[in-house]
Amino acid sequence: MDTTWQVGGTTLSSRMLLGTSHYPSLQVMSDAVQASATQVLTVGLRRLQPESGGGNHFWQKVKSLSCHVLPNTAGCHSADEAVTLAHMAREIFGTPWIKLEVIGDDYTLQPDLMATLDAATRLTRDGFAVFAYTTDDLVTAQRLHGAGCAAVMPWAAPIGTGRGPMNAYALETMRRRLPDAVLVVDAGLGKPSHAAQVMELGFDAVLLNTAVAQAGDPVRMARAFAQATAAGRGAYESTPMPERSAAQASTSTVGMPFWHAQ
Amino acid sequence: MHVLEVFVNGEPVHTQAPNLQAFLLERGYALDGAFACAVNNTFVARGQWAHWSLNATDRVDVIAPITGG
Repeated sequence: MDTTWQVGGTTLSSRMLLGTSHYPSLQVMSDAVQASATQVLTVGLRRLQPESGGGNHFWQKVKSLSCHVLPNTAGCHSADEAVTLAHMAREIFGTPWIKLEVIGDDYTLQPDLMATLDAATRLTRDGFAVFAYTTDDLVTAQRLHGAGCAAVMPWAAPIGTGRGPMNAYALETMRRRLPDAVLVVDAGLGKPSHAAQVMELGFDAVLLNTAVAQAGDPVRMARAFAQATAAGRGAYESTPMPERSAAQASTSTVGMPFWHAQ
Repeated sequence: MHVLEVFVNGEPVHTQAPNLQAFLLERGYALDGAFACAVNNTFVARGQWAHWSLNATDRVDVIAPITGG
Protein backbone atom coordinates (compact mmCIF):
# COMPACT_ATOMS: atom_id res chain seq x y z
CA MET A 1 0.00 0.00 0.00
CA ASP A 2 1.50 3.33 -1.03
CA THR A 3 1.83 5.91 1.71
CA THR A 4 0.36 9.35 1.32
CA TRP A 5 2.28 12.60 1.43
CA GLN A 6 1.44 16.23 1.98
CA VAL A 7 2.33 19.23 -0.11
CA GLY A 8 0.88 22.71 -0.24
CA GLY A 9 -1.77 21.86 2.33
CA THR A 10 -3.03 18.83 0.39
CA THR A 11 -2.68 15.11 1.01
CA LEU A 12 -1.84 13.07 -2.07
CA SER A 13 -1.49 9.37 -2.70
CA SER A 14 0.21 9.53 -6.10
CA ARG A 15 3.83 10.60 -5.99
CA MET A 16 4.02 11.42 -9.67
CA LEU A 17 3.22 14.89 -10.96
CA LEU A 18 2.66 15.11 -14.69
CA GLY A 19 3.02 17.83 -17.29
CA THR A 20 0.52 18.44 -20.06
CA SER A 21 2.82 19.43 -22.93
CA HIS A 22 4.03 17.71 -26.09
CA TYR A 23 1.45 14.90 -26.28
CA PRO A 24 0.37 13.77 -29.72
CA SER A 25 -3.19 14.83 -28.88
CA LEU A 26 -5.36 15.93 -25.99
CA GLN A 27 -6.94 12.48 -25.95
CA VAL A 28 -3.56 10.80 -25.54
CA MET A 29 -2.75 13.28 -22.77
CA SER A 30 -6.01 12.44 -21.05
CA ASP A 31 -5.39 8.69 -21.37
CA ALA A 32 -1.85 9.06 -20.05
CA VAL A 33 -3.08 11.04 -17.08
CA GLN A 34 -5.57 8.34 -16.22
CA ALA A 35 -3.03 5.55 -16.72
CA SER A 36 -0.58 7.27 -14.38
CA ALA A 37 -3.22 7.92 -11.71
CA THR A 38 -1.49 11.22 -11.10
CA GLN A 39 -3.33 13.76 -8.99
CA VAL A 40 -1.38 16.85 -10.05
CA LEU A 41 -1.08 18.33 -13.54
CA THR A 42 1.16 21.20 -14.50
CA VAL A 43 -0.10 23.80 -16.95
CA GLY A 44 1.39 26.88 -18.59
CA LEU A 45 0.20 30.38 -19.41
CA ARG A 46 0.63 32.33 -22.60
CA ARG A 47 -0.77 35.37 -24.33
CA LEU A 48 -4.32 34.97 -25.52
CA GLN A 49 -5.63 36.37 -28.78
CA PRO A 50 -9.40 36.85 -28.65
CA GLU A 51 -9.94 34.92 -31.87
CA SER A 52 -8.02 31.90 -30.58
CA GLY A 53 -10.81 30.59 -28.43
CA GLY A 54 -8.90 31.18 -25.26
CA GLY A 55 -7.29 27.79 -25.02
CA ASN A 56 -10.59 26.70 -23.61
CA HIS A 57 -10.58 23.25 -25.20
CA PHE A 58 -7.37 22.38 -23.40
CA TRP A 59 -8.53 23.92 -20.14
CA GLN A 60 -11.88 22.14 -20.30
CA LYS A 61 -10.05 18.85 -20.82
CA VAL A 62 -7.77 19.47 -17.86
CA LYS A 63 -10.72 20.35 -15.66
CA SER A 64 -12.48 17.15 -16.68
CA LEU A 65 -9.56 15.11 -15.32
CA SER A 66 -10.29 16.24 -11.74
CA CYS A 67 -6.64 16.73 -10.81
CA HIS A 68 -5.02 19.46 -8.79
CA VAL A 69 -3.61 22.08 -11.14
CA LEU A 70 -0.08 23.35 -10.72
CA PRO A 71 0.41 26.38 -12.98
CA ASN A 72 3.96 27.25 -13.91
CA THR A 73 5.88 30.44 -14.62
CA ALA A 74 7.83 28.84 -17.47
CA GLY A 75 9.46 31.34 -19.76
CA CYS A 76 9.99 33.99 -17.11
CA HIS A 77 13.47 35.46 -16.94
CA SER A 78 13.12 37.72 -13.91
CA ALA A 79 11.61 37.60 -10.46
CA ASP A 80 9.24 40.44 -11.36
CA GLU A 81 7.88 38.55 -14.37
CA ALA A 82 7.41 35.40 -12.34
CA VAL A 83 5.63 37.19 -9.50
CA THR A 84 3.24 38.91 -11.90
CA LEU A 85 2.52 35.68 -13.76
CA ALA A 86 1.92 33.85 -10.48
CA HIS A 87 -0.72 36.38 -9.48
CA MET A 88 -2.39 35.98 -12.87
CA ALA A 89 -2.32 32.22 -12.50
CA ARG A 90 -3.88 32.38 -9.05
CA GLU A 91 -6.81 34.33 -10.43
CA ILE A 92 -7.35 32.03 -13.41
CA PHE A 93 -6.99 28.71 -11.64
CA GLY A 94 -8.17 29.65 -8.18
CA THR A 95 -5.21 27.97 -6.52
CA PRO A 96 -2.32 29.34 -4.47
CA TRP A 97 -0.07 26.65 -5.95
CA ILE A 98 2.61 27.90 -8.31
CA LYS A 99 5.47 26.07 -9.95
CA LEU A 100 8.11 28.75 -9.88
CA GLU A 101 10.50 28.74 -12.81
CA VAL A 102 12.84 31.63 -13.52
CA ILE A 103 15.18 30.74 -16.33
CA GLY A 104 18.73 32.04 -16.21
CA ASP A 105 20.22 30.42 -19.28
CA ASP A 106 18.23 29.77 -22.42
CA TYR A 107 20.53 27.06 -23.74
CA THR A 108 20.43 24.79 -20.71
CA LEU A 109 17.19 26.18 -19.24
CA GLN A 110 19.11 26.35 -15.99
CA PRO A 111 17.18 28.36 -13.44
CA ASP A 112 18.40 31.71 -12.20
CA LEU A 113 18.79 30.72 -8.57
CA MET A 114 19.06 34.21 -7.14
CA ALA A 115 15.97 35.41 -9.00
CA THR A 116 14.16 32.21 -8.03
CA LEU A 117 14.91 32.80 -4.36
CA ASP A 118 13.81 36.44 -4.66
CA ALA A 119 10.53 35.47 -6.31
CA ALA A 120 9.95 32.59 -3.89
CA THR A 121 10.39 34.90 -0.92
CA ARG A 122 7.91 37.41 -2.32
CA LEU A 123 5.36 34.80 -3.34
CA THR A 124 5.35 32.94 -0.04
CA ARG A 125 4.81 36.29 1.65
CA ASP A 126 1.83 36.81 -0.68
CA GLY A 127 0.30 33.51 0.41
CA PHE A 128 1.38 31.26 -2.44
CA ALA A 129 2.37 27.64 -2.05
CA VAL A 130 5.58 27.77 -4.04
CA PHE A 131 6.94 24.71 -5.80
CA ALA A 132 10.39 25.99 -6.68
CA TYR A 133 12.26 24.56 -9.65
CA THR A 134 15.97 24.63 -8.91
CA THR A 135 19.22 22.82 -9.60
CA ASP A 136 20.83 20.27 -7.30
CA ASP A 137 22.67 23.06 -5.45
CA LEU A 138 22.30 22.30 -1.76
CA VAL A 139 22.60 25.80 -0.36
CA THR A 140 19.98 27.17 -2.74
CA ALA A 141 17.67 24.36 -1.74
CA GLN A 142 18.23 25.23 1.91
CA ARG A 143 17.43 28.89 1.22
CA LEU A 144 14.29 28.02 -0.72
CA HIS A 145 13.13 25.76 2.08
CA GLY A 146 13.93 28.48 4.58
CA ALA A 147 11.90 30.95 2.53
CA GLY A 148 8.86 28.77 3.11
CA CYS A 149 8.51 26.98 -0.22
CA ALA A 150 5.91 24.22 -0.22
CA ALA A 151 8.27 22.06 -2.25
CA VAL A 152 11.83 22.36 -3.42
CA MET A 153 12.24 20.76 -6.83
CA PRO A 154 15.80 20.08 -7.98
CA TRP A 155 16.46 18.96 -11.51
CA ALA A 156 17.87 15.54 -12.25
CA ALA A 157 19.20 16.93 -15.53
CA PRO A 158 18.25 19.86 -17.77
CA ILE A 159 14.62 20.06 -18.84
CA GLY A 160 13.69 17.75 -21.66
CA THR A 161 17.01 15.93 -21.87
CA GLY A 162 15.82 12.64 -20.38
CA ARG A 163 19.33 11.93 -19.15
CA GLY A 164 18.33 10.94 -15.64
CA PRO A 165 20.14 11.92 -12.43
CA MET A 166 23.40 13.58 -13.51
CA ASN A 167 24.56 13.98 -9.92
CA ALA A 168 22.92 11.41 -7.71
CA TYR A 169 25.36 12.25 -4.94
CA ALA A 170 24.12 15.85 -4.83
CA LEU A 171 20.50 14.70 -4.76
CA GLU A 172 21.23 12.19 -2.01
CA THR A 173 23.02 14.86 0.00
CA MET A 174 20.12 17.26 -0.43
CA ARG A 175 17.70 14.65 0.88
CA ARG A 176 19.92 13.95 3.85
CA ARG A 177 20.50 17.62 4.67
CA LEU A 178 16.85 18.63 4.29
CA PRO A 179 14.98 15.82 6.00
CA ASP A 180 11.90 17.93 6.70
CA ALA A 181 11.54 19.56 3.29
CA VAL A 182 9.19 18.32 0.61
CA LEU A 183 11.61 17.45 -2.20
CA VAL A 184 10.40 16.65 -5.70
CA VAL A 185 12.74 15.80 -8.54
CA ASP A 186 11.65 17.92 -11.48
CA ALA A 187 13.09 17.73 -14.96
CA GLY A 188 15.54 15.51 -16.75
CA LEU A 189 13.99 12.12 -16.07
CA GLY A 190 13.81 9.97 -19.17
CA LYS A 191 13.09 6.43 -18.07
CA PRO A 192 11.12 4.81 -15.28
CA SER A 193 14.37 3.53 -13.77
CA HIS A 194 15.40 7.18 -13.27
CA ALA A 195 12.24 7.80 -11.29
CA ALA A 196 12.81 4.68 -9.22
CA GLN A 197 16.39 5.73 -8.54
CA VAL A 198 15.52 9.13 -7.10
CA MET A 199 12.55 7.77 -5.19
CA GLU A 200 14.87 5.20 -3.60
CA LEU A 201 16.93 8.16 -2.37
CA GLY A 202 13.91 9.35 -0.42
CA PHE A 203 12.50 12.06 -2.63
CA ASP A 204 8.85 12.70 -1.97
CA ALA A 205 7.76 12.68 -5.59
CA VAL A 206 8.80 13.17 -9.20
CA LEU A 207 7.54 15.61 -11.77
CA LEU A 208 7.88 14.74 -15.43
CA ASN A 209 6.43 15.52 -18.80
CA THR A 210 8.53 14.89 -21.89
CA ALA A 211 9.51 11.36 -20.89
CA VAL A 212 5.86 10.38 -21.02
CA ALA A 213 4.54 12.68 -23.73
CA GLN A 214 7.32 11.90 -26.22
CA ALA A 215 7.40 8.16 -25.62
CA GLY A 216 6.34 5.89 -28.45
CA ASP A 217 3.37 4.88 -26.34
CA PRO A 218 2.71 7.67 -23.85
CA VAL A 219 -0.09 5.84 -22.09
CA ARG A 220 1.97 2.74 -21.32
CA MET A 221 4.93 4.90 -20.39
CA ALA A 222 2.78 6.88 -17.97
CA ARG A 223 1.78 3.66 -16.27
CA ALA A 224 5.39 2.44 -16.23
CA PHE A 225 6.55 5.65 -14.58
CA ALA A 226 3.81 5.42 -11.98
CA GLN A 227 4.82 1.86 -11.15
CA ALA A 228 8.50 2.77 -10.97
CA THR A 229 7.78 5.76 -8.77
CA ALA A 230 5.76 3.64 -6.38
CA ALA A 231 8.40 0.91 -6.44
CA GLY A 232 11.15 3.38 -5.62
CA ARG A 233 9.18 4.81 -2.74
CA GLY A 234 8.39 1.33 -1.45
CA ALA A 235 12.08 0.48 -1.55
CA TYR A 236 13.00 3.65 0.35
CA GLU A 237 10.42 2.98 3.03
CA SER A 238 11.59 -0.63 3.30
CA THR A 239 15.19 0.48 4.05
CA PRO A 240 17.47 -1.10 1.48
CA MET A 241 20.26 -3.31 2.72
CA PRO A 242 23.65 -1.70 3.17
CA GLU A 243 26.17 -2.18 0.40
CA ARG A 244 29.07 -4.49 1.21
CA SER A 245 32.50 -4.64 -0.30
CA ALA A 246 32.76 -8.42 -0.13
CA ALA A 247 30.53 -11.25 -1.27
CA GLN A 248 28.41 -13.03 1.26
CA ALA A 249 26.64 -16.28 0.46
CA SER A 250 22.89 -16.15 0.40
CA THR A 251 22.53 -19.83 1.15
CA SER A 252 23.70 -21.11 4.52
CA THR A 253 26.73 -23.34 4.45
CA VAL A 254 25.66 -25.14 7.63
CA GLY A 255 24.95 -28.78 6.85
CA MET A 256 26.41 -28.52 3.39
CA PRO A 257 27.38 -32.00 2.17
CA PHE A 258 30.91 -32.47 0.92
CA TRP A 259 31.76 -29.10 2.43
CA HIS A 260 35.48 -28.76 2.08
CA ALA A 261 35.87 -32.41 2.91
CA GLN A 262 39.55 -33.08 3.26
CA MET B 1 -13.33 60.92 -26.44
CA HIS B 2 -9.56 60.83 -26.54
CA VAL B 3 -7.96 58.18 -28.76
CA LEU B 4 -5.08 56.31 -27.17
CA GLU B 5 -2.46 54.09 -28.66
CA VAL B 6 -1.82 51.14 -26.37
CA PHE B 7 -0.29 47.72 -26.84
CA VAL B 8 -2.14 44.49 -26.33
CA ASN B 9 0.03 41.39 -26.25
CA GLY B 10 2.73 43.46 -27.91
CA GLU B 11 0.59 44.73 -30.79
CA PRO B 12 -0.21 48.45 -31.09
CA VAL B 13 -3.91 49.30 -31.20
CA HIS B 14 -6.00 52.45 -30.92
CA THR B 15 -8.80 52.67 -28.42
CA GLN B 16 -11.29 55.04 -26.89
CA ALA B 17 -12.28 52.59 -24.17
CA PRO B 18 -12.65 54.36 -20.83
CA ASN B 19 -11.28 51.46 -18.82
CA LEU B 20 -9.64 48.05 -19.07
CA GLN B 21 -12.92 46.15 -19.02
CA ALA B 22 -14.33 48.17 -21.89
CA PHE B 23 -11.06 47.73 -23.75
CA LEU B 24 -11.19 43.95 -23.38
CA LEU B 25 -14.77 43.89 -24.66
CA GLU B 26 -13.77 46.12 -27.54
CA ARG B 27 -10.98 43.70 -28.46
CA GLY B 28 -13.38 40.76 -28.49
CA TYR B 29 -12.51 39.02 -25.22
CA ALA B 30 -15.37 37.26 -23.46
CA LEU B 31 -15.25 38.63 -19.94
CA ASP B 32 -16.18 35.31 -18.36
CA GLY B 33 -13.29 33.55 -20.09
CA ALA B 34 -10.39 31.83 -18.33
CA PHE B 35 -7.84 34.61 -18.67
CA ALA B 36 -6.08 37.24 -16.59
CA CYS B 37 -4.64 40.66 -17.30
CA ALA B 38 -1.58 42.69 -16.53
CA VAL B 39 -0.91 46.30 -17.45
CA ASN B 40 2.70 47.41 -17.70
CA ASN B 41 3.73 44.11 -16.10
CA THR B 42 1.50 44.70 -13.08
CA PHE B 43 -1.28 42.22 -12.38
CA VAL B 44 -4.73 43.78 -12.53
CA ALA B 45 -7.31 41.69 -10.69
CA ARG B 46 -10.59 41.03 -12.45
CA GLY B 47 -12.47 43.11 -9.89
CA GLN B 48 -10.41 46.17 -10.88
CA TRP B 49 -10.96 45.98 -14.62
CA ALA B 50 -13.97 48.28 -14.69
CA HIS B 51 -12.10 50.92 -12.70
CA TRP B 52 -8.69 50.68 -14.35
CA SER B 53 -8.06 53.60 -16.71
CA LEU B 54 -5.69 53.12 -19.60
CA ASN B 55 -3.02 55.60 -20.56
CA ALA B 56 -1.15 56.12 -23.81
CA THR B 57 1.55 53.49 -24.44
CA ASP B 58 0.19 51.17 -21.74
CA ARG B 59 1.12 47.57 -22.34
CA VAL B 60 -1.77 45.20 -21.75
CA ASP B 61 -1.07 41.48 -21.50
CA VAL B 62 -3.89 38.96 -21.61
CA ILE B 63 -2.93 35.41 -20.72
CA ALA B 64 -4.72 32.08 -20.68
CA PRO B 65 -3.98 28.42 -19.91
CA ILE B 66 -1.93 26.34 -22.30
CA THR B 67 -0.19 23.02 -22.02
CA GLY B 68 2.87 23.13 -19.79
CA GLY B 69 5.42 21.04 -17.97
